[in-house]
Amino acid sequence: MGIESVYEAVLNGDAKKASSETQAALAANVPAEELLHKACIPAMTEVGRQFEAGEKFVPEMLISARAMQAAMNVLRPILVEKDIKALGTVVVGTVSGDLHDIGKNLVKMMLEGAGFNVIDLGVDVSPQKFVQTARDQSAQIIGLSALLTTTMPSMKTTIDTLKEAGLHGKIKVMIGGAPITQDFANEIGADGFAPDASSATRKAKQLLGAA
Amino acid sequence: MSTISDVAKRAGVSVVTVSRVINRASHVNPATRENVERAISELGYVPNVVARSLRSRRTCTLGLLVPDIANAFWTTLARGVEDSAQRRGYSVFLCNTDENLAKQHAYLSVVLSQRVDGVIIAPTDSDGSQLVLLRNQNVPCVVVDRRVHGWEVDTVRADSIAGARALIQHLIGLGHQRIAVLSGPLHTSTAEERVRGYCMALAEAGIPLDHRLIKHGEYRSISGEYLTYQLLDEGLQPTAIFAANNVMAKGVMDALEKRGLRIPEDVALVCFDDFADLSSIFPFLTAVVQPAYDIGSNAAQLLFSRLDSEAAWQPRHVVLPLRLVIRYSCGRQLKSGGGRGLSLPIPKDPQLRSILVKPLNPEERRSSTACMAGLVRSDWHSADYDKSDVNRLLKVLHHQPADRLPHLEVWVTSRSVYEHVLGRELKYEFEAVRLDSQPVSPEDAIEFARRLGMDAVACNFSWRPNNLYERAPDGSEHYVNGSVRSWAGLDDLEPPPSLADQLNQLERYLRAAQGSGVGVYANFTSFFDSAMRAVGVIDSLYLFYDDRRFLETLMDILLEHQERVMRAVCDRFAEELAFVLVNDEIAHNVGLMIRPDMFQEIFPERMRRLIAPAREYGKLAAFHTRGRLDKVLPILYDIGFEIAHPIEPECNNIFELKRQWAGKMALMGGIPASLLAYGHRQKIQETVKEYSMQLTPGGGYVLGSAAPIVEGISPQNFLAMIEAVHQYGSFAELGNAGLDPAVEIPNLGLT
Repeated sequence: MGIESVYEAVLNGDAKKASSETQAALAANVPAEELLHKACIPAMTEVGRQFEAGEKFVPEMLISARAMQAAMNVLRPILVEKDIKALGTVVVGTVSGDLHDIGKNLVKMMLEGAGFNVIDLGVDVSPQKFVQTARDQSAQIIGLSALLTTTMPSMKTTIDTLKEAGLHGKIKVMIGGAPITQDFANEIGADGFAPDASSATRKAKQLLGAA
Repeated sequence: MSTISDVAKRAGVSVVTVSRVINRASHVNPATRENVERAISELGYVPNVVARSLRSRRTCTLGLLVPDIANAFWTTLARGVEDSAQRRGYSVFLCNTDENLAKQHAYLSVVLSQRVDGVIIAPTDSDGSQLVLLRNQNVPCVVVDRRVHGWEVDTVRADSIAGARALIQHLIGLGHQRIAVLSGPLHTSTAEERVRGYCMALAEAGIPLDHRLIKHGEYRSISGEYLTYQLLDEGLQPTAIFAANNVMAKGVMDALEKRGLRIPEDVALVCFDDFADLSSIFPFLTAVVQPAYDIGSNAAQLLFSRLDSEAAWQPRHVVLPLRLVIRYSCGRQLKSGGGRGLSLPIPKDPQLRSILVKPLNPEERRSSTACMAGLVRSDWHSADYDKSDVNRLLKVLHHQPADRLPHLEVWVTSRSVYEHVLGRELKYEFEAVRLDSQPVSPEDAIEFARRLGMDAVACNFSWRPNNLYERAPDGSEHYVNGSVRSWAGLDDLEPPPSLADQLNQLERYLRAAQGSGVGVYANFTSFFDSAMRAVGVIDSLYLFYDDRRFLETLMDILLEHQERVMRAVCDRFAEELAFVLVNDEIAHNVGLMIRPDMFQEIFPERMRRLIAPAREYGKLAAFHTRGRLDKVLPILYDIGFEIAHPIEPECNNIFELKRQWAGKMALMGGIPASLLAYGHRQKIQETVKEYSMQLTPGGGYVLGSAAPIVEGISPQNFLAMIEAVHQYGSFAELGNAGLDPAVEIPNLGLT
């Protein structure tokens, strides 16, 4: 019971158990923020570590993220009430011209699992919309995804738009997707690149200095 | 009805003499001939052609195969053939090949089945092996207008090199330096020779060669128009254009008019061949005029001389002179200060000239070869290693060195790349193209491969039911989700395409590929990613834990169908296929998509079933999956795959994989699509050079893009990759041919 059980349930991707153990822990007067910071987020961090070590794979990552969401559904009203802040706000989306959202959705789930507030703009998102939303929502990071080689230039356009808005450096940009490499990220002036959803979470934390 | 005996009786001669007159034999006394012909006329005697041909084993028919009778050059040539044939009592079967190898092959079969006594042909390809039907049946043949390699045969042609050289010399004399040439199909000797004459004239004048000004298309108006747009759009700013034939010149005129450019004020124009009737009324085009009629009549004469003799003569090569006819389109009027507007009737101009252009002498011909040395695009396509060769591909897939690095693209969906390579506008619907679809006809796909020297093309056998697509802003369609939501949905899947239709399509590919050197491989969708896509990829990933039985049942439905398709394809076509490709997605950029133990339970046994027919027939099996492959390849190898595609460079070190898998697993692909989309020519060529140097030795590597060739990858960059394959991947460059015949390699016998 308590923190360990919630941790185990999230790590093992057992959503029902994650929910019931969270409820039980709250009933046993374990503070919601402790359940978030000592059970849920560490469990997802461990999931990410195991993924990167080749011990877990995408389905396990997904069911853990779902279990985390089940726990969060119980915790969220209390956290809101106590005004517990998210780790940061990330605006994610697939760039203009590109309709592929699978990779972006995985990143979104893992970011949420790490404690970020994620605003998902969907697919075929214009540079202006990324910048406008990030500004309006006081986001710290914009996450850009592309599957098609031919839509990669939209990433640079988005960074240029951010520069034009005077927000370059204030709002970090991280990019990812099948054709994307670290070289390309360097070339277009992105602040970070991640080859997969778990690394994306680590990279986002690094960009906020929270890693 | 009168008989030949009645005629003999009436004329007072023997039946043999009547027969000699009818057959136009020589050495018949003119008075006797006249007497017999009068008797034939009076009696209304009609020879029994069938009986005569049975006796003589002659049908008195000729086959004439030309590219396009709508072109005045070929009409005139055909008239020359027909007039000569008619004088000998022969009739002519006329066939238009449209420069299409498959059509040429089909027509050759037709005329040979009609037992023609001889064939006159303007071959679509300079490769003599394409005329193997004629050679095998020992039918007398004369090649007109063009040369063929690899077959010693009678030829009649005009000297294209000399003609092109004369035109360009004339333009240079008028002060032009930036002269573009729009030539015909890469594999025809006339197209090559006209470029050669062009290069020769430039070299003699000391003008450096700019290969961007040399374009190859088809001998069609639409091609001339399209290539002109290319020249203008690429900002090459030619001051003069040399069109390699008259109908291409017509296309140039159309294009220049549409762009608001005047001839010759803005761009001068010269061409090969005339519009004879038009020019007599409106003598505008400066052209080199070939003696088309004489080519035809000389060809017929050569053919009859063979038919008349039992002796196996050495081949004769007749090269006729041409005439350079200088009119207005070259801008001579402007140069001489006579820039007046043209109106009908055209005033007689004493300076209009027709100059005899003699064929090159042997020394000049040798010199013309040297002038081509610096030219990339036109000299690489003339060597054998530049041609498509499925047997080269097979050698390399069996880890044997070959004459050059093979090249293969599994998916090309870019209209601009197709049109650039084919040199014409395509009428297909490209607006809803999906990344793994085949947007052009089998014939165009084969022609595309042949022009590139690509060694094989795919025929798709796809069943991906219940995929939902959305259209991107560029018009292409992309998978976004699946629509199978429940067990009930499994009974109501979108049906697969008709197997009969799919097999017919493969038949079409194989027919079109005949004699082209291009191999055909069958590309099957699979069960793993097809099931995930049918459900929705993210939802399916949950299902591996939530309801694996459901997902596996869906996989089995897909597998059982594709198994039947694979079986049908292999039973009927295995001998003719280069290999089979299974198109699935089991990995992403950090490795396997699901847990290895779970993957082992789900995947290998099913996949063994799918490829069992191919294995039975000894066909190589290739597997396509994106993603990181270091831990995936051992699984695939264990299942029975021997080729992996596309080796995404973003998450694989292809050089390391090649080292690890040398002799076991061949690799295809690897060239970064981002390089092709955004790299510069030099960088692309350097990359291909590096791949060639490191991966070609020992076989086991086939170069290609690691992602589909989509709209957005420029034709120029795509061709830069191809040129580099031919340049750096060749035996001459790498010096590693020496084929070791230790492994017996099935030869498809297609080349």
